[in-house]
Amino acid sequence: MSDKRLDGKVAIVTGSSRGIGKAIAESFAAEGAKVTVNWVGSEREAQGVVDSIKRGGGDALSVRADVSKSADVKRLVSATIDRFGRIDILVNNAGVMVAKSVLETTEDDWDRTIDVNLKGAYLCSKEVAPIMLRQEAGKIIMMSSNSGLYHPSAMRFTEYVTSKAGMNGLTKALALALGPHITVNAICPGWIKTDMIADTDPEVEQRILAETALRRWGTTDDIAGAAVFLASKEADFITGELLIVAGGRGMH
Amino acid sequence: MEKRFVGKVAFVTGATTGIGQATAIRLASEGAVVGVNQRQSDDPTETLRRIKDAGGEAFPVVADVRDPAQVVAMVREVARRGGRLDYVVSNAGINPFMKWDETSVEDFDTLSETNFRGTWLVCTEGAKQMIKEGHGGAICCTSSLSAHVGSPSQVAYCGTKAGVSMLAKALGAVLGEHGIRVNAVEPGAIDTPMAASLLQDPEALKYYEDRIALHRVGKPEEMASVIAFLLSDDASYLTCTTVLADAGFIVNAEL
Repeated sequence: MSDKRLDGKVAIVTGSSRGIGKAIAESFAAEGAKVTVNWVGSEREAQGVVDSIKRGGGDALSVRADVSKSADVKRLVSATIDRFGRIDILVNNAGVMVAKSVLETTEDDWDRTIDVNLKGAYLCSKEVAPIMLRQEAGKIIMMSSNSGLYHPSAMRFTEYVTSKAGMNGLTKALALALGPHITVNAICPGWIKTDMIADTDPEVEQRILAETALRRWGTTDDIAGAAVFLASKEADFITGELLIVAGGRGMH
Repeated sequence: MEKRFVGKVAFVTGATTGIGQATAIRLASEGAVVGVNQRQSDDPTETLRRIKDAGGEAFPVVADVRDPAQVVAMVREVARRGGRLDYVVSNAGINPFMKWDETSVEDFDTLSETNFRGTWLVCTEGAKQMIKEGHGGAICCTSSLSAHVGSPSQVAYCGTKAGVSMLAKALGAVLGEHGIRVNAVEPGAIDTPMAASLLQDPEALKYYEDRIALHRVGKPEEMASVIAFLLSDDASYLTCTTVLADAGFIVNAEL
């Protein structure tokens, strides 16, 4: 048995120039997968991820695509097929968050958040599904959020929380629609230290930490570990599941 | 695969058959020294033989999880023989099919003392040992799909398994500060001796295969891989989490 858990697999990780997506792309590559690194605004960072994967002896491809645009998604998928010949894993990770109260957000904020987070996951899944069905194998992973389940810190992120709750529904519906050969699961991270939440109020941070059983922030590697598991054959009997990776937040 | 548990010590309750057996074998094959728990009347030979074949190290440890003194002695014995304790898999459970109105108080007590109180005892005593040793650790409980859905012949069982899932969450909340993570796996229809009487009925089997999104029942090894993940450092930020491993059974509610 190979030591690597994703040996020979091909993965697309959307929004993987930084943060959680970057950690997943790098972990997948370290486990033997070839990875398409998708980005929309940060070409230099994406190239950095590709370069670091190649330095580690892996193979990766950088593709600019706005996941909320179906033409872009088709290009993302066809570029991956042209280069690697198949698609075994899709991680719908690309996401945006507007940190305003609902009274301050605009219709554009709503549209952008729902379009990238929810419609993007739908478009990408729909585009790779026929390929995975032909292969009779595939793993789709949604990067949702525990805020899409129950969380009070969600007060300021109305559109984001709604989009994540939608992704949870999409996960379950797709699991049924695409079985038995494709599994579809979501990871619901808690508070993970990334750019997305860099300007959080220190008082809020302290409150969150006090509510977290492990008494620490999550790291992008914590999420990557869960993603590798769901992408591997280790999770073959799991589909339609929402995996909470939140350090025990909200259990007190 | 890289061996994730080298130098670690674990014990698995109810490890002579089914998911417990597969888990004990999996942990040992990844390098852990494993205490294979059995009741006096169980035969650990098969589990121990398969661990040996896989190049692993294990020893049998007798305890009925219904008996607090036996559980305390088991934890002590594992820590003594293994030299430490890193992982607890609270897996022992029973699932006697009985109609809700034919279940006696004695039946209920036996179920509850094994599945629910037994889990609490095993996890609590295991955690105390890990805290004493001061190096953190991880606990995984075997709960069930039945923590979420009812079944006419498993009413009391369903109650005990909902209790097991909640125990994992509540214990996780208090053990986080000691670096101990607590999670539970909730298996769906798995091909084990426990489920045999159900799954041998072709009609019941067909019902499960139709409804499960992956259109098949699971293997004990597929639960062992989930438990191994939850114990491993890959799950470093997972605690108080239940992992439903039913391959899309519950989610299939035709609208």
